[in-house]
Amino acid sequence: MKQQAKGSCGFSVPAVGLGVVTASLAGSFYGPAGEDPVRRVLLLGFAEAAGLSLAAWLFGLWAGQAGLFGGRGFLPRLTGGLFLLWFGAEFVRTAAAAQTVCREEFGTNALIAVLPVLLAVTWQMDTGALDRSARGLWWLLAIGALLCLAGLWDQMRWQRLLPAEALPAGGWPPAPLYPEYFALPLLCRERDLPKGALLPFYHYAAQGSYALVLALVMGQPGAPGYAGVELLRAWGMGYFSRLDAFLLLVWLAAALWRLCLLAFVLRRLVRLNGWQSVRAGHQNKGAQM
Amino acid sequence: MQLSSNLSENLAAFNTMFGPSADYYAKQVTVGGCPAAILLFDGMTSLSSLWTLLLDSVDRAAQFGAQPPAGGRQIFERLLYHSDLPAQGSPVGTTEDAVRMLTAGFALLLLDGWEQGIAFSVQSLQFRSIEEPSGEGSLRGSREGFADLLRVNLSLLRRLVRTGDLVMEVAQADTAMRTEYALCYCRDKADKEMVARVRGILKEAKPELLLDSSYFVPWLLPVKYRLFTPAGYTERPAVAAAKLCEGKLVILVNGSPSAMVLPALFAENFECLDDYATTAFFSSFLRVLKYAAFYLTVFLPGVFVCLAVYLPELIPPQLLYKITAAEKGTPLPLFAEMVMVILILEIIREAGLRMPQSLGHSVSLVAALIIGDAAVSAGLMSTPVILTACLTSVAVFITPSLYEPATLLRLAVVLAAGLAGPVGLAAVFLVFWFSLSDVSALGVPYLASHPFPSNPMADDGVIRRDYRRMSRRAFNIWQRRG
Repeated sequence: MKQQAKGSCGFSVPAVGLGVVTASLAGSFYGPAGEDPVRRVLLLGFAEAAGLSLAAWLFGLWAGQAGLFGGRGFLPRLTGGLFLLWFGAEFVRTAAAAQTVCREEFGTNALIAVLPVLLAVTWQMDTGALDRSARGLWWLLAIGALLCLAGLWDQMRWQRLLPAEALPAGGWPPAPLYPEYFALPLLCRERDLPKGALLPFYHYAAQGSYALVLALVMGQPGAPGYAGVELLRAWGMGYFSRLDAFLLLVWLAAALWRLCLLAFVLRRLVRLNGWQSVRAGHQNKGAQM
Repeated sequence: MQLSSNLSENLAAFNTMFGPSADYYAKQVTVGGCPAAILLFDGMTSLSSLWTLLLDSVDRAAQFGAQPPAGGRQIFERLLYHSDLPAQGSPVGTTEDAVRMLTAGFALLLLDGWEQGIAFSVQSLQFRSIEEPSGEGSLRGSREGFADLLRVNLSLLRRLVRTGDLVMEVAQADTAMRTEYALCYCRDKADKEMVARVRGILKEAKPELLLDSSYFVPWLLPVKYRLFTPAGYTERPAVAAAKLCEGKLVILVNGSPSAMVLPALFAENFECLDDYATTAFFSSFLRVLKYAAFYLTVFLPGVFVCLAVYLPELIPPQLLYKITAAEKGTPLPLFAEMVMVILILEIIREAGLRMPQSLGHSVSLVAALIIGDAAVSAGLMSTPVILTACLTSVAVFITPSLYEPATLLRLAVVLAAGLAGPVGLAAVFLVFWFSLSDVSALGVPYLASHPFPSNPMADDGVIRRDYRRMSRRAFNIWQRRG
């Protein structure tokens, strides 16, 4: 019997992790390329991820015990409201990133028409369906990453990891805070909470790998305004080139999936806080359930 | 309605019902001095069996004659309980029972002075012989296919699953034709709660007609819109028996050779009997090919339109030159051309399927000439478009069970890619993926969950393991419940 806390969406950790990786990749694509040296990203990023993991685990424990997601009273309502805003902001941020990719890479604003259709399709879907669909996208991302590595293989030089100049002074690499880190009791099953606390490492793995490959291929680009998406544009394999469009399409599918997930979580938060009544009524499901 | 103890009343009632029918046969006889009548339907009952039965009765005339004249009840009891005649164990008490037995090929004996009849097993139903199903080809394994008669199909299953575990419950559906259906399952392997639920749904279902097991789907899996149906169909007793051993439920309907299997998994559309007769490596290779063919048939035309129209830089230059040169000579845009070719191919396919077989070759020839040569020569369509559409049309036949969703999805992908470009393609891919993952039957998701990357592959999924290794852990469908 699966343990599922009251009010929890019941997603698996890899499904939530897919959303985090998608958001993280968006940062890598349009962030300045090579702004932070790769050694700093890998070493300090690990420490950041560990710290965030610990914070997420502690907050998850406390939130579970205090019934912050699903309980009644002032504190749960306040938490629900705050997370509603945070997830709402994340939804807007992801939609904006997807729109940027659509406009800049594909020269289209079709996302504005497509997104409502997708949200309507997923309106009645249950957690399991979103969860299972994440698996296919993980496979696509994995295949995309392998293809990308295959196309960049002959351009990688390990010497570029060791620049002649000393490392420029700088602080910690940026570590964006995603609401998923701290909403584990809401998103995941109770038994998955310890694994869910490792979500910051999903971001670390995506950001670190991207920075590493970028450094291996391009070294430390000096020019300002050099975006991370240039790594994808460097791809080439014989007659085939411009694989960046394919990889960006895979990322776009993952971003649209994340938007559906965020919309699901927003609906759940609205319902938990009693702002929307659950429609009572018997629906004949036959032998489906 | 209860049968009367008066023979004339019973005969009058049956005469009212079946009198005008040419196949209805009622013969008044005397058994042991008691007036009686034999009722049957011509063509459903073996006259030779009935003749043997009558001869046996004549043999017993002395036995009956030696006894004092008896009423209908005594004769009834002697025949039913103290004779070797092939009578059904339970008496026929109502008109509904009598009709049910008569239409199943039994001969019915009614006696004057007793309100119950005796049904004799002298059936001789004509049915299509047991042949190899044309839609499920295989190189190895059983060649038998289900016939149309329910009882024959049940016997085919019983011959294969020779344990007391197999249960085959037969009932009459609440339809205009009172068609019989059977719910089959293995007692120790199937989930009892789910069996009870399916039994209840089938009992409550009120289809106007029941000509195939698929007619039950709207009651079993009610939903407004669905692309994929989590129910499998087979015409092979061997496949049905294998599914029963996996704990699944099989529904058979009288008059149809198609058995419905519940619940079904998406991966099962890519499996066949031959998979387990060849090496794991080769069958895995074939399965990967089948998956590739399915995704090709759904996405290739849409991807082609998207690349050629919106992202030509992704196509290698030499290929792009050829596509551009071919497109220059055609009046329609590539997107419209692709939609047109797909629709024409569907029309040709439907025509080939429905028309008399003797005309099939002519239509294929004409269609091949129109599509293959005339359209290109006339400059209406370009060769790359025709090649792409034809390739996808052929690829869909590798997974015939997915024909319906694949055809609809292919059109949807072309429309989305043509209208919204790469964004439409990504969105329609997600819709496809959601429509696959949102389907479940009896609590078993159509796409079984194998979390990536911890447990990404099933033992018997996209690729399969060695059969000896798989056999160590028997598969049961209820392990996959979400």
